[in-house]
Amino acid sequence: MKDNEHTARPIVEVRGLRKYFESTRGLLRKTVGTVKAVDDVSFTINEGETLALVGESGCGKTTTGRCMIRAVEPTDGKILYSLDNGNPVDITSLSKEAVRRLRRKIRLVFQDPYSSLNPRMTVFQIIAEPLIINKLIKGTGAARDRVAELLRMVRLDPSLMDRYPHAFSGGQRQRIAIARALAPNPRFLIADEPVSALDVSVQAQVLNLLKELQHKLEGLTYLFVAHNLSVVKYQSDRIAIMYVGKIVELAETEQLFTQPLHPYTEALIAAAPEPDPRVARTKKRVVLAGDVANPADPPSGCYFHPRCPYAREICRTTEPELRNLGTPEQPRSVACHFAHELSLQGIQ
Amino acid sequence: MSFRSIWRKLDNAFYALTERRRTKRQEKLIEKKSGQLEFASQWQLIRWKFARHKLAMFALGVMTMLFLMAIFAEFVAPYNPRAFREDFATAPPQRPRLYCPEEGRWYARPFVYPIVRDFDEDTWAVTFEEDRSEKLFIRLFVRGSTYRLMNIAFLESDLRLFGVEDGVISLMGNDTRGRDLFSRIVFGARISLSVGLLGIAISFVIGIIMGGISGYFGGTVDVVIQRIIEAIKAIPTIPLWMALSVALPIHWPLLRVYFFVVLILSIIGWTGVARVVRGKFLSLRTEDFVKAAELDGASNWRLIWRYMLPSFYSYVIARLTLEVPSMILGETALSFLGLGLQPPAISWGVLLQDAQHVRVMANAPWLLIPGVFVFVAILTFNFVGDGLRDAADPYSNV
Ligand SMILES: Nc1ncnc2c1ncn2[C@@H]1O[C@H](COP(=O)(O)OP(=O)(O)O)[C@@H](O)[C@H]1O
Ligand SMILES: [Mg+2]
Repeated sequence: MKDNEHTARPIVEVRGLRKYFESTRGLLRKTVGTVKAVDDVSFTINEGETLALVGESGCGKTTTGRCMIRAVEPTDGKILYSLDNGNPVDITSLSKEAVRRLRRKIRLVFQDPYSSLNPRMTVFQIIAEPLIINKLIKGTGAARDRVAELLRMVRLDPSLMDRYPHAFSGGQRQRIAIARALAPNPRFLIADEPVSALDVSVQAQVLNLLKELQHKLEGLTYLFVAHNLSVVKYQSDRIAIMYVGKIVELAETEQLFTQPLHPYTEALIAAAPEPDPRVARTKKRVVLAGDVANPADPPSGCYFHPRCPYAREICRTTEPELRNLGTPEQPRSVACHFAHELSLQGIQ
Repeated sequence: MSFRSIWRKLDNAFYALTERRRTKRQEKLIEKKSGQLEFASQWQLIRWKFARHKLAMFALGVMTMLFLMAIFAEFVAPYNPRAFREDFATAPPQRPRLYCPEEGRWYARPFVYPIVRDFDEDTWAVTFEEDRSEKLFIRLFVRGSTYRLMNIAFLESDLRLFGVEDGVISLMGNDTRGRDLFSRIVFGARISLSVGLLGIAISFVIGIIMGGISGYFGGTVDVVIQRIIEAIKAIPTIPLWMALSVALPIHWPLLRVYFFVVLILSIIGWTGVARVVRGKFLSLRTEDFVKAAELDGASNWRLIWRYMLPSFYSYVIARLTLEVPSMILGETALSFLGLGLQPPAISWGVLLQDAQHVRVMANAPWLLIPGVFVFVAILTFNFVGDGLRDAADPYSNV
């Protein structure tokens, strides 16, 4: 939330995170290619804040999120997490048992609520599972009370808890998944495209719910992954734009929309579907040209140059650094050689 | 109006009619189930979905009858399967009738004519003929020779499902030693069907363990197990059986031979199950709900027992049902070739040994009837298996 920014306390600090997937072939497991899914990514998330991670499919957003709970083992880098008492620990060097404990505090909401809920368990069993596994609750009565409370929190009728997931719509299922994530009282939620598998008509409900929960559960922090900017417009405090494993721009939401500094951000803004149909009629919709670069064989120089309308010679040869271009009050960074020259199109 | 357009109109009308009936039926089903569907566990959903499969339901009925027949063989069979009447070797089946042409009248109770033995003066061959002067009425629950049901001492009785008084009934004829073929088929069902079930039970255990290890742990173990499976699959079955049954000592008691045959069949049977289980494990490992449980801190055991196994054992059961026919056929083939069970054991394969000679088959084609039972049993297992396979994933269209 904007108003506690001056008292900002980082909850997670990612430094130089890398995840390389090696593809191997044959019995001898010879490496035939390396996919740099996440390549030197750094950002900080403050307590109670929502940081959005936006980029097209295949940019490494999911991998970044999963590295943060060691669902994927990072290749390199540090992820500093400040414990309840304020002491930082490096998630990448935690023991197995410590990771287990960490995963009660950092929770994941999956993209597709149809595959993330076990169809063979009732809603009660699904939501109570993290509590039971981690022995956070004793007795069925207490568990049912807690599940009822969680269901009310995500605005579902607690009397439905003995039904199976197939009795629910996509939006309702995602609420169930959110309730499961909230069960052990987490501090940090990684929502990996929580609405992109849902019908447009119910997306707003789930987005509002997430916002509402953040108000209600003070200090709940979100890393909100999305592949289009319109979803995170009213959701996030800051936005990190990711392209082929790297962050190319990071700024406060308003600043990023009104005054993008990276051509990729501009393109994403132009391509974002307008949620308001009245405005949508007057706006011309731009479809992003070309495909995301292949992370197994990225282009030389700036990865975005083959699709960039402003590309010049230097873009083909030299990779731009992520530079700090903001003020101390409003820090922002961008990785483009011409960030200070181009005047790119944003929206109000 | 051309014939073609009339035809199309008719066709459309018919389609619309049946379509409407179909949707109506579905609506009714949904109406009936609404309020239950939300609470239905996977097994209830599977049952409902299976019940919509008419052919599979019918096959399930036939299968149930076959199994009841095998379990209560002593009661269903009118005679002891080992009792023989040498004089009546290869006597033909008696046809149950309701109409008597001599008297020109119908009877409410079915009857058979007794068979009498005759001697052809010209060819010196024994012939059998119906004696039309006498009728043997078929009655339910008649008293016959005493037996002990499933060899259990206190279940001694002489009550038979059906039979005739003062005479002999042989609905499927007699075998080459004058034993009632129907009674023998009923008893043969015991071994032939139980071989299938016991065989898949063993296949199931081996298959799930091997497939589970292969799919869950992967790596080198997986490679080794997969190569073993390929090797077993590459062995031609008949030579393998021959080799194995040569190793079978001649003095072994019947029961031991029986288990040995089952084991031989399972050695091949488990590979199919292991493949299915492995594939399911591999695909489930990456399934989001399994991943979610793993992140919740679930142990390996919990993941396997609570998340992975329940997600696929319906498939495995369907797959196993489809595996039964090859077991039954395997037993039949082994016994038929004289490599498996031998007389005095009674199984459908053993019974078919009688039908090996062309001369016998020409004179007594009813000796092939055990083959019909094999055929029917295999079809029912296939139909039921098909229905189960379709119903095994109840979440595909609810
Ligand atoms: N387990 C994996 N093995 C190999 N490559 C992977 C794996 N997971 C992701 N990748 C690759 O890493 C890249 C980033 O994937 P991902 O993080 O899922 O992107 P996003 O979530 O932004 O769509 C993709 O090119 C993808 O093919
Ligand atoms: Mg993703």
